[in-house]
Amino acid sequence: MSLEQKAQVLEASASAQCGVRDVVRMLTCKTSRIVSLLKKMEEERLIESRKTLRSGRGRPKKVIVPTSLGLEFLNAYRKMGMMPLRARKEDLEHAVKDALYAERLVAFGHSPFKLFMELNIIASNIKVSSKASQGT
Amino acid sequence: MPAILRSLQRLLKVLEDNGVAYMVIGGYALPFYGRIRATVDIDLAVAISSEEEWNRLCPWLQKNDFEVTISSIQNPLILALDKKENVEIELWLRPDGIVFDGETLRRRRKMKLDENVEAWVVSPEDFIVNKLARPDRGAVDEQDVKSVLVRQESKLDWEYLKKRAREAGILTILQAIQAE
Repeated sequence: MSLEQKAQVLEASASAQCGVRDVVRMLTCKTSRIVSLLKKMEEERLIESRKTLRSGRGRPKKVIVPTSLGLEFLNAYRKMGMMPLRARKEDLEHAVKDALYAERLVAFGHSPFKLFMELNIIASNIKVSSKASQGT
Repeated sequence: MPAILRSLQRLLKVLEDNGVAYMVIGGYALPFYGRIRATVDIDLAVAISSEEEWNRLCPWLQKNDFEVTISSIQNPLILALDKKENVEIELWLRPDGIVFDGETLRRRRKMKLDENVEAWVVSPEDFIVNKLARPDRGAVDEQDVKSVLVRQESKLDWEYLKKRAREAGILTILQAIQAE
């Protein structure tokens, strides 16, 4: 198991209530791999699991909580700058082009938020119509 | 006016009437500082730190047709579903990387979303920190940050940004994005 995966689990559990399912979704790994990762992290005293009370019906949810050692690990990991960039060079170049384009629109007197809303409406209409066509 | 803005307008009124400080964060803050891209999520950071404050606000939200899905301030995120407009708004009590202190609130900016809707929007510096401190940070978040760095280059308060980035443990990533 990579250090990055451990750090991801700790990041997620430190910032929000996080269960095993959330970790599986986040790491996009086989559930069995995640379960063994969490077990190993518990053995290493990086995390502990706790039961939370639910307001509705059903079994109490098991959440993963980082221990103080886990938080120390996370801080050290962050300091070492070991988290690689997710974006590729081309992705960032694309973002630069988008930013310059937005800047030009503003210079021509357009409201960037108005344009954003128009784009959002188009995107949402496409989503709705593609859902509808899938349903037929 | 689009449903999402009508919904936001009502929600902001509830927050303002109850004296709850807030700011728009995430994708809806992006067009003011960086690139223009579509997004579904509407995120608000709300300065609520005690159960009493939350319990005071909750009935007002319900009275204004907002159904609150998770009703505890132990959660960093609360979902408010507007039953009138069928719009979901995410209320962040502890937004990633953002320290909700006086300085953060002083730095937020009042922006016009529509002819009749104005809202407080997170500062570009805190926007960057929030994006990079997400536990599920992806390429899109880094692209968003890059676009803000390009558009706001000369306007950013670098001292403040570096201080907040260091505190959130994302200074190295920020520098890597800046260098690319």
